[in-house]
Amino acid sequence: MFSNNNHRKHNTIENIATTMNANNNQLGSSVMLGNQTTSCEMNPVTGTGTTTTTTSNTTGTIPKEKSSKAAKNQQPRKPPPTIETFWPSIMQEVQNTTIDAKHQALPLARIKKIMKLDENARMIAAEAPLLFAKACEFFIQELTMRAWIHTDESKRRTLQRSDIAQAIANYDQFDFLIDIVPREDIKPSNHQRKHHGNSEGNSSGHAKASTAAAATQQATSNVENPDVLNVATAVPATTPSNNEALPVNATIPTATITNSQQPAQVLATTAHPTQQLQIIHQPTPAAQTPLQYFIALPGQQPQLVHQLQLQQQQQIPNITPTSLNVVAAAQQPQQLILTAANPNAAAATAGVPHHHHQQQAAVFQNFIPQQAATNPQQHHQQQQQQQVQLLQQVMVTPTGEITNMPITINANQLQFLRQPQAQHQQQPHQQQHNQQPQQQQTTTQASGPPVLIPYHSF
Amino acid sequence: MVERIEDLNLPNAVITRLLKDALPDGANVSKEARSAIARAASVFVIFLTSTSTSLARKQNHKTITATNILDALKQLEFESFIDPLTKDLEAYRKVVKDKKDKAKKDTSGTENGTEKESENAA
Repeated sequence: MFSNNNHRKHNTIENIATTMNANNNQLGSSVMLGNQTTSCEMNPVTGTGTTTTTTSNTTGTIPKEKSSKAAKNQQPRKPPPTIETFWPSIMQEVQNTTIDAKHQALPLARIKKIMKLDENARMIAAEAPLLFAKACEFFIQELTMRAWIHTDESKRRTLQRSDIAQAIANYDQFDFLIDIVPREDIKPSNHQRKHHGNSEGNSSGHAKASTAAAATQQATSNVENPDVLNVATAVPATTPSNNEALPVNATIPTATITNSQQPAQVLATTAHPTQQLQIIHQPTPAAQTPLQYFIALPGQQPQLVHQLQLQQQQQIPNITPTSLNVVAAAQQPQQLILTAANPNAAAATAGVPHHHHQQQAAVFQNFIPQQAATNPQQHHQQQQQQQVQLLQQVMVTPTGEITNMPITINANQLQFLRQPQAQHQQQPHQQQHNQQPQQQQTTTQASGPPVLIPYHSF
Repeated sequence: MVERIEDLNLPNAVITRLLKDALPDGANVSKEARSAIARAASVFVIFLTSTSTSLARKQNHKTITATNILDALKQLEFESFIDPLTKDLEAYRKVVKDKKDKAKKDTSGTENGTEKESENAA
């Protein structure tokens, strides 16, 4: 311990002396050693002893400093300084100017270079590298000592890398080093602990998801933002089944589609009482063509409308109103439009009564004047495309396929989606809604810029 | 800026000495362990720099000051470092101040670059 400190200071002094172009290293270092041995009280355990040494050094050398100062002042005037005055003056100068460097073995320039790796660290106070060097010293010693604990436990005398890894793993402070010194041998205790934590996180997530799913299935009208997003993400990944309508249920497992009784059911849920969530299921006539889903959240609509649109298909006479926001049952619906709006958190309609092409046509016709342009499409899809263009989010190739599927949500609507769904309430008189005048009402009232989330499932 | 990756390592000799200081007599340190510790120290510097930079930014400061560093240490749960570092900082500032005073008295013009730096920082 003592010898180490002496050696260290000896080194620094020597270095400084050499930089000063002094030839008498032996003399200078020996003088230094004489001074230093009195003040080396470094505490290896805490690493905090260095400060005391600095103070003791400075105080101990004050009397000499004055004399040396006088000597130093004489130096410029006397070109050949005597050996007696030169070295004490050098020594004092070294002690004064490099108090940091003496205890501070870590090179400041190097530390500064490392700091500059951080692009945000443009300006660094002069004290900063100093503090860093010191902190680094403490850090190294603390890490070493903590690692040594493990070395000692295994009755070894050589500090191994695994000890360091263990120390890092065992102390939260060193968490940031976990990847820097990865451990090859993982202690069972730590492993179990981590694993436990992970499993807990997973299980909780699972529980959340399951509860959310259950809630959606039971409440059927509550749609949370993640659910909506799930719908968005899940739909594009779906593969079309033989029946155009069937994939709707299968492809949105995480969504809040709850009606499984009907082969083709699309659930549209309203996120906000004043919002209308519209899912348009738009399969192309061919069975193999990709399905198209559009979720539109046009601005405030006073009434909740569930609209099932079945083009080219005969409607199923009985649609079970099992869930509120769910609509749309069709054995082979090629087009399914589901619109749900919660009228001021008042009512939500569960079942969708029969819809007719005429109703849809009316709806579409209502939309048509608002639309800017229509893509040349095939017969019945033109209406859909018109509506798509009304929503301004879908680009359709001449073959009727969706080539671009941007998902755009206005900030306001996103906010609406994020709002808790408690506002969404089920009303007993849901089934009374969804009449043709109401649909027209909704369509006409959707004057605000609607947001369309197109979905494209293959 | 950094030519070689080794430039970012702290000097090996210094690390060795620090390790020896921290370990009891007769303890050996494997090469791997030493390099791991050196790397950890470098990462620590980076980590601390990043934390203190963000702290400085929060205060709309462009310069990383000693206070930022101490706060960053606290944030990183290295509170035990703060006390000795504060003392060191005080000692350092005192020395700088003494030197300034001395320089004023002497007007010898022997101040070196580090002193100027520290003055600016203060």
